[in-house]
Amino acid sequence: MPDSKLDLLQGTLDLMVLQTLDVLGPLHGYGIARRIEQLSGNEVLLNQGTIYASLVRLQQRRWIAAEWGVSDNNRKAKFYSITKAGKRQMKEDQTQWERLVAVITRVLAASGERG
Amino acid sequence: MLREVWARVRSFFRKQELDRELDEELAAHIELATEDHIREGMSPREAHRLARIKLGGIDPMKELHRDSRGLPWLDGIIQDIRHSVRGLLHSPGFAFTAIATLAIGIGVNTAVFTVTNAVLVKGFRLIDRNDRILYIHSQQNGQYSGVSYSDFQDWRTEAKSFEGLGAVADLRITLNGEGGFPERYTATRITTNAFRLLGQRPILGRDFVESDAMLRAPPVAILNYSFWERRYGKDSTIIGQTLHINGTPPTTVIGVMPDGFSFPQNQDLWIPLTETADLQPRNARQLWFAFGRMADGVTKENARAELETIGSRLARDYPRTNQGQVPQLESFSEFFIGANATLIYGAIWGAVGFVLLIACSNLANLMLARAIGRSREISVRIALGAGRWRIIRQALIESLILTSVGGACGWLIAKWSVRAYELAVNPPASEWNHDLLNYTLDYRVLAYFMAIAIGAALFFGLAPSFRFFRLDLNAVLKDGGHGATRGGRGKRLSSLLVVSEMALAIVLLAGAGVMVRSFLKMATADVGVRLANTVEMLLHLPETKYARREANISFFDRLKTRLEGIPGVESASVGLPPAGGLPARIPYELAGAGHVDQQIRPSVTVVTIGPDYFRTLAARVLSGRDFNAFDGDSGPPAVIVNERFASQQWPGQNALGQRLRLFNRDAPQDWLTVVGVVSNILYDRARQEITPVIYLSYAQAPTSADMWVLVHASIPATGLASSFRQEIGAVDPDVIIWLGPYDLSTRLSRSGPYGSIRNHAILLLIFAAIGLAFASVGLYTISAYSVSQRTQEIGVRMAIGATASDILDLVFKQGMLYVGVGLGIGLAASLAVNRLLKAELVQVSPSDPITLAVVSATLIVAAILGCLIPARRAMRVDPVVALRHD
Repeated sequence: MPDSKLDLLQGTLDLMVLQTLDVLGPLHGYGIARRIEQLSGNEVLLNQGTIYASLVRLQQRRWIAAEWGVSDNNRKAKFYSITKAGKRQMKEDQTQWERLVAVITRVLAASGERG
Repeated sequence: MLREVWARVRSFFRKQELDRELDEELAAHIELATEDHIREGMSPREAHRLARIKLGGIDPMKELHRDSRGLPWLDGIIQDIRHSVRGLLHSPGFAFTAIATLAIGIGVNTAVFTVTNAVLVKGFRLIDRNDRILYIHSQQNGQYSGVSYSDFQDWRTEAKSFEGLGAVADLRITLNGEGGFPERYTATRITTNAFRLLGQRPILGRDFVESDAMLRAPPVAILNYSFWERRYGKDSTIIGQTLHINGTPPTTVIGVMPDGFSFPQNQDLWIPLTETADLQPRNARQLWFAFGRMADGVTKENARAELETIGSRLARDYPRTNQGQVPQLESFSEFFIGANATLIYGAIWGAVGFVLLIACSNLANLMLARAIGRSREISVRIALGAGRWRIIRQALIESLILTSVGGACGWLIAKWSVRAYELAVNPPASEWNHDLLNYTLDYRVLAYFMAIAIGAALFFGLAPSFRFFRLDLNAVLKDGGHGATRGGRGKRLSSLLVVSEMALAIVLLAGAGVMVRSFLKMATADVGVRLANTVEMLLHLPETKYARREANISFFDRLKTRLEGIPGVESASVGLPPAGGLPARIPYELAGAGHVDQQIRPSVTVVTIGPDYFRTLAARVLSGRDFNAFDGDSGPPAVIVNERFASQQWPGQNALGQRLRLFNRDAPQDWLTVVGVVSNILYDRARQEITPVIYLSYAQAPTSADMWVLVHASIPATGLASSFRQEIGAVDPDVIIWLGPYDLSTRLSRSGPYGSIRNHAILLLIFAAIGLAFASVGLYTISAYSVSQRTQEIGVRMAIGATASDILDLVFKQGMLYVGVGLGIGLAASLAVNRLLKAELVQVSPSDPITLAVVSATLIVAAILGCLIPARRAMRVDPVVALRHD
């Protein structure tokens, strides 16, 4: 494990949650947290609990929906799934994110040349 | 966006349910994670531990969850409210002082605004758009001169600025009683269009129509609601019934006006204003006033200009009667209340404004003291990361809580005091039912109340907050919270507030002082006669029976004997009661004065009296004699003059034997010989003016159907009312009686400008007392605080040998400095402010030195009391304890 984990930029957790739900379909909070941990190679995160603040926020914006259900191993859990509005939002956020990354990469590269 | 807000609001109210759901979800999370970890090969205990660690702290997470789903700022405010309430419950002394101060400050302000609003803004009850209704009368040389019916008709035909013009003539009439004793009622004569102009309709029956005012139309009347209620028990079959108004054919009741409606005031019923012969001459200015509703789009200036044009046209066309007559257009308050009253109410309103300002200054000081006392706590909170805005919010919430509770109490105080004021000004038992003013707490009052309450909360909530922005955390934390006071700024602010309190208290006290002195001057003013246990009655003799003077005189002679036969009655007489207003003046000329043009002939007040008038009132006959049995029909015409008349007409000469004669219009009457000079009796109480008066014997003067009877008794005369009625009834049961409800001295203290100056003086005195109390509490607060802050310093001083009196000196010197500065500023300000009261003052200068001296002394005493308690506390400081004081 690296000494310092990445601090998440505002809003990026929401995007990761949406992406996860889009790819994996309905999932409970723990599942989402695990998935993000695994995909990020334990680079980010986060108390797993933070995920719940994000989930409630997305729910209030109607980008995801929630339903109580039963997990694989017969546990009662709340399952989240992405909505149509959520998918739209995810696309938008992705584009935004890619543009931002591209710009920052360019800027960083430029200053690198000089030094 | 909106959806999210809505979702947040919903979540805010479903807090418990959502929290429970989150708990379940987190429990599931931990179970799922634990199982995963077990599968990875951990022991169940370790798996569970790791799951919890990875989840993170439960409480901050819940907090975060709540913040992202609900309304965190509202949660914060609720928390602050809880915190504040707890804090206030912790210091009940502070809370009580603050709430009481606010309740009094806000309550008194709202009450006074209600009264001022009623006097200056509202106008008549139930009348739509009062500001469009204007009142018109004629003025001659700036003096009210009534309205002539002919002028009114010309205004009505020519003026285009009004939707219509109406007119009002006040008329007092009597009404025959049904079964019981006959009583006097009041009717107002109005033009038949009056109610329509005012936008009011009868609730029962019909309105007047034009034909009702025709000369030979059958008499009709519309009843005032309260009269209908009082006299007829709201009998709805009253419409079509007849009343007997003296001397006229039976009058038919055609309608009843709505509850609370009165126009202009105090009447029991309205009858149509008919153009009788006596109204026709252009110089018979017998109408009280005309009024009109301005047409749409017309301004008061337009209307005034138009009326003045018509007025000058009339002056050109009828120079003999209308020369110098100017139609005057006025608003409700200008016409009915008068410019003086406007000023007075403005002054009183200003006074209570000051009181509120004082109250707020005190609270600001209290809050400041608390804030300084808490500056360590606050510094710690700021150091721990509480935003300064949060600290200010906390202070504001505290002040809002105090204001809400104080304001609620204040509203009740306002309600009760307005009620009490109304009862004090218009006692329900009095002859008048003062319907003129409308003291309801309407939306304007509510708006004003809210504005001052919120203003007060902001004022004293924010004052301490300004300090937080300058708080030097390190200094405060190191210093243990003491340094804050010596920073200077907070102290300077407190000092400024206390000095202004002192100054304001002086202004209030001085205002109240001159009013009280005026009142005392009036109360002790010599009416010239004895008033206690003297009652007045007005009798109306039916014209048919008493057409001849002899019948009239013999009635009074018999009545006098019977009244004087009542045990306790000392004397009874016929004649005008003192201080009840002046009757008309009659032109006269002195014998040997040469011919005087009738236009500029002097006139004098003429009072017709019966035997023993002067004895009943205990007036002194200074020279000559009273009227006697020889001053009858056959005797030589005699006159008695008052001292003022004698000294004006015949200075340094003997008035006895001088001759004068009166004029009836242009016709000279018989020469009268002066047979006596009596001491002055004050009739014109309003102006406090002794006027020249001459007295005629009723046996020699024309008698009228209405005569005043005065009775003096050796016991409280009002208790004899039923005996009076009985004796009068025994002489003639058809006589109509109005009996004064009070004896003369009580009547005088309750009515007219005397009553109003009394009310104003009392009001100002109350406000001044409140202001003074607040100011000395303010001084106490600041001194006590300063002593507690300087305990250590005082301890050191005592330890190095300062005596108790040195310490006393220390505290007092500072307190008295405030008093001195405040006194100086206050006295200067009151000289300016009191000038506003001048119109209301009677024989007292606005800068009356006695008043100012007494006022200053009062303030100093109050201030010493304010300083005394803290000073004594300072003296008792134990150096050993003080040095350890933190």
